[in-house]
Amino acid sequence: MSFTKILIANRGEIACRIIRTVQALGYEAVALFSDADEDAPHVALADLAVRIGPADVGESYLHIDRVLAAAHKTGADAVHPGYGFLSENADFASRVEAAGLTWIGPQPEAIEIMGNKAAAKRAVADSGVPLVPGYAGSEQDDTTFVAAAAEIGYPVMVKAAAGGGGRGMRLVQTAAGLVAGLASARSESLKAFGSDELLLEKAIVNPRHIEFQIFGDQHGNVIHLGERDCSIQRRHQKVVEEAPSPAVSAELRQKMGAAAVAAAQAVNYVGAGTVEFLLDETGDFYFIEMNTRLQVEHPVTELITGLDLVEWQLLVADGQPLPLTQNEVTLTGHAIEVRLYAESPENDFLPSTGTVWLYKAPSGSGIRVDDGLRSGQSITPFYDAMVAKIITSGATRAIAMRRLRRALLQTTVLGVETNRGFLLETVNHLRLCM
Amino acid sequence: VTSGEHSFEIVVLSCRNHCLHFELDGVRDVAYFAFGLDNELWLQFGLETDSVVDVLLAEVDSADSAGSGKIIAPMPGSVLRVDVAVGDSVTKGQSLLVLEAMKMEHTISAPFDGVIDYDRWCSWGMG
Repeated sequence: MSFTKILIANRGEIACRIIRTVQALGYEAVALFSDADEDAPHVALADLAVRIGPADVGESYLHIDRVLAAAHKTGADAVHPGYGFLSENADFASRVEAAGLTWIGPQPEAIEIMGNKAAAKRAVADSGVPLVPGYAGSEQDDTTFVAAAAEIGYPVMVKAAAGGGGRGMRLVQTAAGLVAGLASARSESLKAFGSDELLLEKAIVNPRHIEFQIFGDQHGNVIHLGERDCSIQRRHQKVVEEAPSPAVSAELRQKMGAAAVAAAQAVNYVGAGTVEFLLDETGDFYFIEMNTRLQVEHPVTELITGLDLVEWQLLVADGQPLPLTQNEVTLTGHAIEVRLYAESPENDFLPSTGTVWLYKAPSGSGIRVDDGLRSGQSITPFYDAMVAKIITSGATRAIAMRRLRRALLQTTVLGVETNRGFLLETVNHLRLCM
Repeated sequence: VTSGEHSFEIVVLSCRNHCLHFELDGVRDVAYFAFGLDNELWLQFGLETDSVVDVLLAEVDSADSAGSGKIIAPMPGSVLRVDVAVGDSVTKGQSLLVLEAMKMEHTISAPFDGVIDYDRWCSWGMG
């Protein structure tokens, strides 16, 4: 269905990034903002902006009725959810479609299945996608888990079936720690996701986190746009993301890419998605989950493919076929992204709030910055502490890494603490390992 | 600038738009700065980012009681005016003297109640 005015149901850097492509393609952009965000950059960038409620996310960015009312009020005829917030909420996707608007995302059924890690595994199991040996059954009593863990072999990972972002996840080394691990994962999962359904997986030792960007259209085509290596994490949160992965050969890329496409086809996937795998030291890989949205780290894929993934999302939502076939996709050079957070590494990475008195983004050859920050802006405690993504690229990994180091030295945020120094040390460490 | 046992000569080349261009030991470099609320100065140089509070302009904290008893000038500057003499009783918050530094006048106030018993600073105009 054709559309002309797109409501971006998000805030921060991703709202700004989506608005830019929306406007570049001639669509009008409608922004939403809470009381805490009226001076935020995404509000100033958009053609129209609607105040939807108080700072609390439940009263604003997560309030489905208010988001839909904002679309109605402004005459928006399509909704782009960004990432986080309502992006993987199947109920929201259904409500958008029921209101006669175009949903710029996958079908609600695919969101629903992939949103539950256990259901996702059941869905892709028949498609030849390798799974981590584990237990994802409906029997949820401790006795069943203890027996299953003994069969799988320790160490095991306990995970929330509805989970994401590392919450509700426990590494259990021996049988003695399992019951306690189950109890704490259950309570954390219930609090974070409203469900205490758990699953077990064999813990893969020293794995790499390799994810494939996939795209499906409404005509049954599904292709992949190569992988991203997100192995550098802190407490299960990604810190450094790069493409291509230094650990993936052309041959392995073809194998993993085919598995990623098969996983997407298992749910007739439409739009942008990410299939996540663990890659072990022997080259074996296992499906972990699929994210049914645009990822935070999508820019590294854009930089090595030369494509605009938001543009592709809009094309697909408009009913057009994918612009390229699998053989036409080329990967050139190397790209690396780091996430700049308003947080204090010296204080256990606690979020840092206050006014940013000075913000200077780095610039230059091979440097891209996706930010939602400007000097004078308040960083409030209500939302994610990520303020910018710094992405560099070059013909080789060494060039991209060197550019990233200099870009971080050029990045200035004064007024709140950030993880800039921590990122610089991480990049210096990675350069030594090359 | 003196820091511990080390002394450096820093030549400020320009200081505008939050950029401080300077020369240190023959090397030209740049640092970034911004002022926050409550006399807070934010600085970034290379890897390091830090904030410092200019205590010269800080208000007296009413919860403060007598500390070590010593009052040391928080930064180098010229004494413009002395408001008390040895033997005077002062109350917390009362002006002791006025310093001039970086072309700004700063009133140094008593951090606690007490009696002025040692006079090493009150020669007018001392740097």
